[in-house]
This record gives sequence, C-alpha cells and structure tokens, in this order.
Amino acid sequence: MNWNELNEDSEWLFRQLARSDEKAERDEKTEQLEQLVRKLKEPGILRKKIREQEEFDYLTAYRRLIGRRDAVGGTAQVKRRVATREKRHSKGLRRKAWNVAAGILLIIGAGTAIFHTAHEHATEQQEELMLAGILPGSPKAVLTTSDGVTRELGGAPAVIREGDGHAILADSSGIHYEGDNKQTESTTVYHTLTVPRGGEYFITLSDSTCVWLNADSKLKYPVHFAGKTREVTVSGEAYFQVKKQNGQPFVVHTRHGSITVLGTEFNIRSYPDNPQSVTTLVNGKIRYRHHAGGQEAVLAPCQQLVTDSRGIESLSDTDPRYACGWKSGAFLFRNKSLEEIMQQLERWYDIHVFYTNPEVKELHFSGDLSRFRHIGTFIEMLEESSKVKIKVRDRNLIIGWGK
Amino acid sequence: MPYPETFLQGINDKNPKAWEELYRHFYGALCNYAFRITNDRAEAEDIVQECFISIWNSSLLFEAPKALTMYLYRSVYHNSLKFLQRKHADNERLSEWSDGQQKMDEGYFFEAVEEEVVRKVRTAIATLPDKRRKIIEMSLDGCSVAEIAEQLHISVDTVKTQKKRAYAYLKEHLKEDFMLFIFIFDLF
Repeated sequence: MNWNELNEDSEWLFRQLARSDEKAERDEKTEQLEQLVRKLKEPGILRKKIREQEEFDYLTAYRRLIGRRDAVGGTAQVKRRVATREKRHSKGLRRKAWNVAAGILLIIGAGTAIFHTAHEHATEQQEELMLAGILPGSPKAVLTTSDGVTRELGGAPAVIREGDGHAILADSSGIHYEGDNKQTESTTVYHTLTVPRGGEYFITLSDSTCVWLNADSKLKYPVHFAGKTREVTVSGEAYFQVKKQNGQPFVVHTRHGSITVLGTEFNIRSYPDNPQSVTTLVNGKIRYRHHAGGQEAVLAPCQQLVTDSRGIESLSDTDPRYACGWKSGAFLFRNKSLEEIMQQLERWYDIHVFYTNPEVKELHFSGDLSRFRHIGTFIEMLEESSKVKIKVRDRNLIIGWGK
Repeated sequence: MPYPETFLQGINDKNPKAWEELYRHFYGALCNYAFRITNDRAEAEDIVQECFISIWNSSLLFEAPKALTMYLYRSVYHNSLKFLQRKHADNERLSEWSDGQQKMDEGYFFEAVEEEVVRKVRTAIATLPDKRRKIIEMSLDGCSVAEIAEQLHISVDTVKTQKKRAYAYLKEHLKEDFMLFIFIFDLF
C-alpha cells in the first residue's frame, strides 16, 4: 500500500461525494474507492460515521498530553498513564451522565427525580472496573454460505467466493453483493447472515436493496434474485431500504407474517423471545399478511403494526424515528417500560438483566441517547431519574429498588 | 479554523493551542481507525495517544499538512498491527494472520481513506452555526426539506434559506479549502 496516496485518495473521494450526478472524473481509481463512494452516499451513513468519530473524547486525551509536561522522569510518566487509564472510564462517564441527565425529556413512574451527586461507596470503584468490560455493540456477523460453511465477518476485509467463482466483498462497512447479471442457473443459492448479541451489520443485496441488521438477528437471502419475486426471511430486528423494481415485488417473511413491498423503507422487530412483532413503515407502502388465517393490513408511512402469533393486534400512527433510531446509532425511546428498554440494552451490550423487585419493570422512561455510549451512562441515567438501584456483576445487571 | 501554515507551525513549535486543534480534528478519526483494526476501544485510544505523545516529544518538523496527515495514519496503522501481532503471538493464529496480511493491508488503507474523508466532512460541518448545522445534519440523515421544516417547526422557505446561508458561510470561511463548500452545497 502506498501511504502517499492517502491525501489524494481522500480528496478524490470527497469530490465524488460532492458531485452526485457526474461520472467519476478519473477512471483509473480502484474499485474499492468506487465502493466507498457508494457506501458513503447511503442516507445516514455519513452521519453515523461522524458520530463514531465523535464518540472518542479528544479533550481528555489532549489534557493528558498537556498535563504530562510537569511529570518528571520516565517511570513517573508511565505510572501516571496507568492511573489515568483506569480513571478514564469513570471520569468521562460521570461527565457524560450529567449531560444525559439534563437531556432527559420526562420521567414517568416512580415520582420525583433524584440527583444524588457522587455516591461515594467503597464498592463504586469495583463496579466501575467491572463496567469497563461491557462495551457497546460493533459491526460483526457470521455468514453461512450455500455449502454450509460459516465465516466470521467484522474487523478485517475479506473476499468470499461462491461455487460459481463469484466474489463477494465484506469489510467493516458490511457485505456487498454485486448486481444481478440475470442468472440462468435453475437453483437459487442462499446465504444466511447471523448477527450475534453485541453486534450490528449492514448488507447490500444483489438488487441494491440495503438492510441494516440489529443485534441478535438473522437474515436469509438468495445470492441473486431470480423469478417473479424477491424473497428474504428475517428474524430479530432489521431496517429495509428496498430498491424499487417493477414487476418483481420484494417479500419479507417473518415469524408471524409476510410483508410485500414495491420499493420502500421500513423496520421490522420480530424476536423469537418476544410475543409481539412490530413493523414500522417510514416511506412507501407495504402489505402485511399474517400467517394465521391470512389477515391482511396495508401500512401507510408513519404507521406501526403490532402482531402476535394469533393475528394483528393494532395498527396505529407513530413517529418512525423511535423504531428506527438504532439504525443511525441512537437509542430513542418514548414512554417505554424499563423492561422493554432493558431488552434492547441486553442485545446491544450482550448482557443479562435480573430484577429483584419485579414491579420496577413497569417504570416508564423517555430518552435520546447514542448507542455507542458506555453502558454506565444508562445506569447512571436510570438511577438518577428514578429510585432504582442497578448492581453490576460481570455481564449481569441486577435491578431493584434503592434503599 | 486555523490557517494551514499557522496551524502547521503551531504543531511544529509544540504550541498548546495548535495541539488542541490537532486533537479536536484528528483524535476521533484516528481512534476509530485504530479501533477498526484492533477491535479494542481502550487499546485504540492508547495507540493514538502514544502516537501524539511521540510527536510531541520529538523534534519532527512537518513541511506540509499532507505530510502530517500521512504520518498520523501511518503510525497508527503500524502500531495497531503491532498490537495485533502481540495479541496473536500466543496462539496458533499468527501464521494464519501473516498469510492474509497482503490482502488486509489493502483493506486497511481504504479504511484510512474513509476515516479521513469523514473527518473532512465533520470539520466542515462543525464550523456552521448551530441552527444551520442542525439542518445540514438532518439532511445527512436523509430528511427532505419538508421533513426538516416540520420537525424544527420552521417553514420550508426558512429551511431553504438556511441551507443557502450555510453555503455562503462555508464559502466565506473555507476559502482555502474549495472542496469543502462544494460538498455541502451539492449534496444537500
């Protein structure tokens, strides 16, 4: 690799992003750069990338550098560094938590908000050390190809070859299937993408449909779409941006029913351990058909459909930002029960939650937080805005009433 | 934003103000880059901090902003790989990892390019006044003019005007960097 091209390439990329209609000005640029242009032009991607960069606390790091000037001698500096590293999580955490506390919209449930400044228990330091091991989710998934071979996707870029020699590129931005070249093959080849707890993943299907998969979710799809319909199967949570293709409707199969679309954006949350499935439409039009008895519903933008195994439970108007915020890196919840909030956190941080007082599950909260924040932010937020106390034991959170 | 010459001089002279700007503009991008290689947030931050410290303690002089940018990404890349090497040294996967290195190098280079272009966009947007920045951010999220107007409780015309002003503002303040304002104008 030639580092001298770093500036040239990033400036070239910048110009490509700026000129949405024009063709690439220099043809000899590599396929990887073209791919980057396409990726960064997807709505929401740039913002998400910006948020990722901003999650890192530059000011604290800068102050640590400036503070070093007083330190004398190598050993002193090393010790200092170790000390600040241990403190880093706790300090940043507390400051962030205060911003959060100020940003909370309202607190419903257990009465008044309590802001206990720095509760200096001896156990606190231990808790913070434990918290350091719980991290937000990151892009990762397991791909199962047609031959049953599994491979982990995430950090390092990889090229996957199908039996027919077709190459598929995967990197930390996701996996991208190339355009349909009107396959003549009689058998359809299926891949399955499985995102573990503590993960999320992005995929471009061969028809240019984009799918964002949330933690603990699975998508099964053909490598190329052949036939009259484009059909995929999803379990867990996924956001679809379906490419319009006249005469070849897109069908999403879920646990309770199937969704037929022509070209649209919507979110599906259908986890096997939840009795209800929620489908939220952002743009376009979709038809939902329940497996049991063939009950049907047509959704208009900003409508949300709730189903369970028996049939359709409700169809109501909604603000889709709440259901789809995860896709752009946000946790948005309005008047949600602690139990529902915790279910999301469990998947994202790969933790388990236990309740010592079951009635706390019914406390309701509203809030708007980045998904990439440290888990401690949520804990402090919940403790400061209600009377609950949250204990951390390894990857387990134990929630009950405070003293 | 500092003028490039002054900024670079400040970096070379170890001027704390210039260094704060350096951190503001590059720390997040470099950390995210290191994180993408190491998959370890704390380690990524340490690698970047070490890189800054080594420049701070050195007598290195950068002749152009480009040289600085390249130096930063390159040393973060090398130190991230070193970390992976150390991490994998204990187990069998080392040989496997070395075999795949040639392919990985390519990919990691483009990840550096990606972080750098995102950094440029972020820097451009950060210079906008609050309201205009909000509008641009919502545009980036894929909101239409009508949706922005509705959510911010302002008229469609106001959104359009504010977008235009955002453009004028960037044009005024980023004369040195022509591409920045073209970008904002055309994309939104």
